[in-house]
Amino acid sequence: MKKSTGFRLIAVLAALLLWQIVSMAVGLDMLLASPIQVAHRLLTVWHEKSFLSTILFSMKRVFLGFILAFSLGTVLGVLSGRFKAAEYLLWPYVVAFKSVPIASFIILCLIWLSSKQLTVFITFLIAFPVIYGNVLEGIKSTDHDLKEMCSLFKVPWRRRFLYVYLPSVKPYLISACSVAAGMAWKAGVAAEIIGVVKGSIGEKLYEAKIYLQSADLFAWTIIIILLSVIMEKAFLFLLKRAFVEVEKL
Amino acid sequence: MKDIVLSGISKAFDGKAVISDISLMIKAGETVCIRGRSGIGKTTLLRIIAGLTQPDSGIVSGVPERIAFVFQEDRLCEEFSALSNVRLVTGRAMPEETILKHLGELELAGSSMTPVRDFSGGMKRRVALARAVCAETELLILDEPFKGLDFELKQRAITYIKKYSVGKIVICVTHDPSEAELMGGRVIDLDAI
Repeated sequence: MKKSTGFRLIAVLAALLLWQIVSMAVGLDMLLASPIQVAHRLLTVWHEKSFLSTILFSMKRVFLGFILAFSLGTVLGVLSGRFKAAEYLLWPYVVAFKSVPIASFIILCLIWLSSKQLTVFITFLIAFPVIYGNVLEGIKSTDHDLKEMCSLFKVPWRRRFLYVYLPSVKPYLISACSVAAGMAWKAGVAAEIIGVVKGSIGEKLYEAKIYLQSADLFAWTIIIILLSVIMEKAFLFLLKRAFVEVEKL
Repeated sequence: MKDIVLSGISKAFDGKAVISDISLMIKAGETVCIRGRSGIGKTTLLRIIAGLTQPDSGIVSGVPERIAFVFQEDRLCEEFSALSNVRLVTGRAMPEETILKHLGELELAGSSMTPVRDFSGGMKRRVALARAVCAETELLILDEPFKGLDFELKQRAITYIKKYSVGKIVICVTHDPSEAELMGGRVIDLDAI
């Protein structure tokens, strides 16, 4: 085991110990469940009939919103990198997505759309500017010498994109997806809580708040973290594989 | 193919004249080696001929539409193989076997599928040469093309260029008189102009 891993493990154990002490000091499970109670809840929660359907409900929508943000963010980022006019045209939307409070969008969405579509929409709104901005930055930072070489040799745009722009965008896109995947889950579940979306993880958290079940709250939070990490790792794995395949061309 | 004619070319950077009133003619199919001390404007002259830099005054005419250029820097796509770097400019117009033959002539056959980021400086130089030659253009511009090659590889590279540049205009910048001699053709000394 690496020394740094050992230190991290000790830090986690110390944090759990502190949590246990504080929970014992508070003395009220409904306010602060202990780590042992949360662990117990985690072991029982998946036995519930609605567990899988709840997870699938949220996962499907968060993933859909993320994929939409990834596809549109990548395409529009590339377009804006190539055509300055596209960058100017998209600028107000990107600024709005970045700066308008997420709660305002959630309320707006609840007026316009059904609550079931809320998660997809909010996840998209949060992930899109991150992916778009990074792809645009990647395109802009493409090596000038390589661009000049391509112009001189009159390399068609498709090949130019695959060989010159894509490798430049790669680190930006990977880092953007890593950040956006985590943000997508946070925003998606927040939207589900505010919209009290039936059958979602957000609804479970809302119920935990209503019935003061802090063990449930922590258990579902841990599940959200796990789902977020799994989605991020799986997506990045596939993305990196796709880049490897392109580089083999 | 036309002759390339440069008339009264001048270029300054930040008020400092790099090229002053240069006029010369390069005949269709001719090989020309340009020599001169560092900073005299050899690369700038090549860039003006290729249309990459605009002269402050003067006219360039007769430059064909398709040009191949070996830049001072290799300008390769580092993540891609030697084969892919050549294919970038040829597309599917040149069969893979032909590209591999070209790479083989420059002793790169065994490394054709390796990403060029793993190549030595000399190997990268040869990929840049193969890319320019395979582009199949009427004008081949070479800016210190043999930099980083040992004598044997240099000779091989020159033989390769001469073999595939018959009928083309070749403009080569070099510091080394022996390279100019091996390349053959006319030598233009910018110091003397």
